[in-house]
Amino acid sequence: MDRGMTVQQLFIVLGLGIVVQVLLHLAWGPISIDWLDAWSLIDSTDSLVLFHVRLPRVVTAMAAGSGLALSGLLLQTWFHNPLAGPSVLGISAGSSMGVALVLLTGLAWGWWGITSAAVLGGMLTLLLILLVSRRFQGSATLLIFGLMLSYVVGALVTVLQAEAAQDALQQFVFWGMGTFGQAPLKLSVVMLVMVLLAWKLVASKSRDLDAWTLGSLTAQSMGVDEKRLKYTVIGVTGVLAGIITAVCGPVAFLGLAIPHLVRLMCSERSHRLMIPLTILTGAFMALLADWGVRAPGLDGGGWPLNAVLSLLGGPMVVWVLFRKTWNA
Amino acid sequence: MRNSGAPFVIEMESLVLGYSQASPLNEPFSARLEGAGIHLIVGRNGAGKSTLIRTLAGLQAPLKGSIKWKGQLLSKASAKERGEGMAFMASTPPRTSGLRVAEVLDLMSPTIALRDQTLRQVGATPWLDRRLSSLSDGQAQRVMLARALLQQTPWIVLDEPTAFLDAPSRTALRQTLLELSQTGVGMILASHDFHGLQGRDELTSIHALNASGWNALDRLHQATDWESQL
Repeated sequence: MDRGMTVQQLFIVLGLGIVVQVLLHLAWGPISIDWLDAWSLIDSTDSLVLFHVRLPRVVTAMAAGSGLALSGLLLQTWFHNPLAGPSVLGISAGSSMGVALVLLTGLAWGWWGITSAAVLGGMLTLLLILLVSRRFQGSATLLIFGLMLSYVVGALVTVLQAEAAQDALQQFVFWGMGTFGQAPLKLSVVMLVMVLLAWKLVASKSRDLDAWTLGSLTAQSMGVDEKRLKYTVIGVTGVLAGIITAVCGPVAFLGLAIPHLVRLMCSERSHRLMIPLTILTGAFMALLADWGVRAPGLDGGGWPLNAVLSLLGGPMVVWVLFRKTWNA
Repeated sequence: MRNSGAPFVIEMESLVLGYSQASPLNEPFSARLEGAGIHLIVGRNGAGKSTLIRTLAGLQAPLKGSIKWKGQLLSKASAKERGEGMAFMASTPPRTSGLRVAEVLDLMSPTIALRDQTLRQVGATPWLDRRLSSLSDGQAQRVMLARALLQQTPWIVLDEPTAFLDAPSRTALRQTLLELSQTGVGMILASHDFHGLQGRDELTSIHALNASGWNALDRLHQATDWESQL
């Protein structure tokens, strides 16, 4: 009945895989770094490449992958829906709307303005979904609502695009393709710290989340505080998906697909283990996907991130649909 | 083995049930429930049995009126206090949980001895390492009953727990409930399927819920007499 690796093995594979990939990502690129010359690592082109290009990129990839994956897991548990995820429910679209308003209307707000707008957009969307989801009967309704929300927001963004200035439009289109390679080091570290804080907060809710899988009424009868858990889900998902969308663009599939990848690799379903495994797998897969972005064109000029992720993620989601039950 | 204490008094005052003020389910009624054993609530489909069960457990607010546990307003109780007073069992087992039976039960942090004893009581011992989602509805409902028992509350409310089970599973689960009612716990059982319960000593009280409110019924009467009250 149970298949896959033991949990310990999986943790080791993921941990090693992340470390190896980080080192390779740092070491490899069109400009070769002279690792033996310590001086050049502190001051010169090498340090510029290392600390301003490659290091922020791996930190951003890890933060984005794990943050979106954690958001996906939380949404799937909260809505009792295996196909929930920040992009499916329109949360990423809400964030995009925030970014579009800032970028396309020519407000020069900088990174923080864009980020705040994205967080606000994401949270508002999630609030809207929570508000209406009480009236939804089946799980398909929720997904269709998220899809429709994405369409409406997408249309609004298109209208903004039609009105926007040429250079703002170019910036926005480029942002929309998704990339881990745009954030400055400081911002990427802030993102990673946010993900770690969210991890700590969510881990403290493991029991509540497990109870929630038994049904929202049963969980509440067990003493789970519905409001508190709901605000944790909104807060964590809105902030993480918002920041990540602002920094990396509307990144596809990671949030939806990573929790399922974890379920495929191991038989554990308790949140005590699902949360760390999801976070590590998210970081691992984001680093892996970034090879597809970096390799074809060498540092930045390669395939768009969302193209790579869709090529990887699309088949995965189909696989989820084809399984008889999502916990089989 | 149970350390939950005797079932406390539950008072319903001018209670109106429902989801929207525009369409209340019943005329205001007042009633009280007390004592161990099974308190059976019968009613037609749509009479509001499920709503009453949720309202009594504090999982849903009444449209009007109030509920008191031990003389205290339920609406003022915290989630934790609610969880210590009353356990809830839904009419269907969870469909989307990937947890194993052992993990479900361990959410209540029981001792191993208590867990195993409870599993024996409900007849769910063989499935400890199975996934909840791999069990049949009848098996999963037994596990959910064990979970509710492990909450060690004075009261357990059951919202038509046999509604979706086949006839043998239904009879077996009902038998288990009758046995459990002898352990000192108070059970509020909503059911439209009360045949086989009439005349049982384990029934502490029987009530019919309908649009005009709440009527106490005589437990010695036959089920057909109850039917006339619905």
